[in-house]
Amino acid sequence: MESKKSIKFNSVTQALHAQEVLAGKSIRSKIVRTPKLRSESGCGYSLYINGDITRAKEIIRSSGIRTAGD
Amino acid sequence: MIYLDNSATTFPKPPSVRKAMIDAVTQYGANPGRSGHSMSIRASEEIFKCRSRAAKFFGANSPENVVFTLNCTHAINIVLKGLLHKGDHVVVSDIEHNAVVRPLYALSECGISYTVVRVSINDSDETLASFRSALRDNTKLVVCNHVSNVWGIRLPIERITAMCHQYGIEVLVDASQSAGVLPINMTDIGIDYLCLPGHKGLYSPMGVGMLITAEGEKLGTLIEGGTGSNSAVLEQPTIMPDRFESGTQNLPAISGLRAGIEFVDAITPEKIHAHEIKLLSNLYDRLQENKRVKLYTPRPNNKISGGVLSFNIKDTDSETVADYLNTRYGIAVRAGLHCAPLAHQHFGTETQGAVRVSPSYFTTVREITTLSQAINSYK
Repeated sequence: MESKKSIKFNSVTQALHAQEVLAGKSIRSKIVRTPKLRSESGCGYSLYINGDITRAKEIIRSSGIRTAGD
Repeated sequence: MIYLDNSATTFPKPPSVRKAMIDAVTQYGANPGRSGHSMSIRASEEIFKCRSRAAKFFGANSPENVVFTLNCTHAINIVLKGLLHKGDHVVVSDIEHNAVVRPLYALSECGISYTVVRVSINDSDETLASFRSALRDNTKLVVCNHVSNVWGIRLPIERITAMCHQYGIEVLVDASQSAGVLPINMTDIGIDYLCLPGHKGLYSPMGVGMLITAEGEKLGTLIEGGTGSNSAVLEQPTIMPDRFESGTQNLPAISGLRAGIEFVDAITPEKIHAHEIKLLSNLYDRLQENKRVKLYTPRPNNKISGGVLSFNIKDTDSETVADYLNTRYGIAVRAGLHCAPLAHQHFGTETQGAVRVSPSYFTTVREITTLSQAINSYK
């Protein structure tokens, strides 16, 4: 799966919260463990977005959910 | 058995709670928040569902503000030991449980002081004045029990919180006896730290409680360990709820908690409270006719009472009465000091203790009638 269509989170709770918020805006996503090669801190979860990732990121940001690197 | 010890833990649990626990063990019993396989993700989703449900039910700003703990005592300890430093002062009510008083007593050995204030049974102005008079320049936290686990006295937490915030002081509310029985919206009331158990008014299993707070990132930690996040970094995560959830979570209990919250939400705390108050005022009226029975609080009502009523029979030791009820009538109540010696000092029952009756949504009028007859039969 492409990393350009994924958003990284530091915890599964944040990832699931983001998934819930996106679902409320009709954006589907799949939660997976962040591939290690792309992880700087060792562990985390990513959401692969089935849709407009820019819009998804904006929705997540405006919901106050932190992504990895925030 | 006629079970009237629901302040200790509710029994029975609703069928939906039992089912949720069984499903967790039989259908998706993987470790949540650790692996990437389907069952682990499913387990993580179940945990999140409960977190999200709890956040909505208690008016928290975000599911991330909900931390699952072992029980309410654990939640209270996280706040007291994570927030307070040498030189800080705390104000507590004189009806607090040992879950509050014992850690504060331990912390007093480290230079943290606390003041116990006397509350009024039915005058919230007087209670508020007591709290206000105890505040000092170095008061960092006020802790108050929403409902006394011994007497059912209900404290005006909305007014106490508003008053404390005027002075920049945070408030911890122990909702052990009120969660699920009285409506609590943290955001509306302004509660900084809400601590509660799953296994009482939320009809969930033992082994899970919650600390709900938006202030978690500033608290020091009691336990550090694996969180399934940022594993390459040795520092405990600051993000919530991971900061306080090291180690494997109690998935079956949390699944049960989700079902318990849904059960209570469907009925509503208001209806549950009204049911319990009706039962206890019925009991109160019957006991008042018996000159040998000592009652310490006013007739229960919606405004000043939670779902708890305690009494004594003359000077008879309370454990003796409780044993009589259990042995002769199969009625379960709790006697003694209820892990709340301060609350007993309030009414002078430190030696005798008291017999506590605590119904649940499942308690019937017939059971209360049987109880009153049993009490009145004691010679």
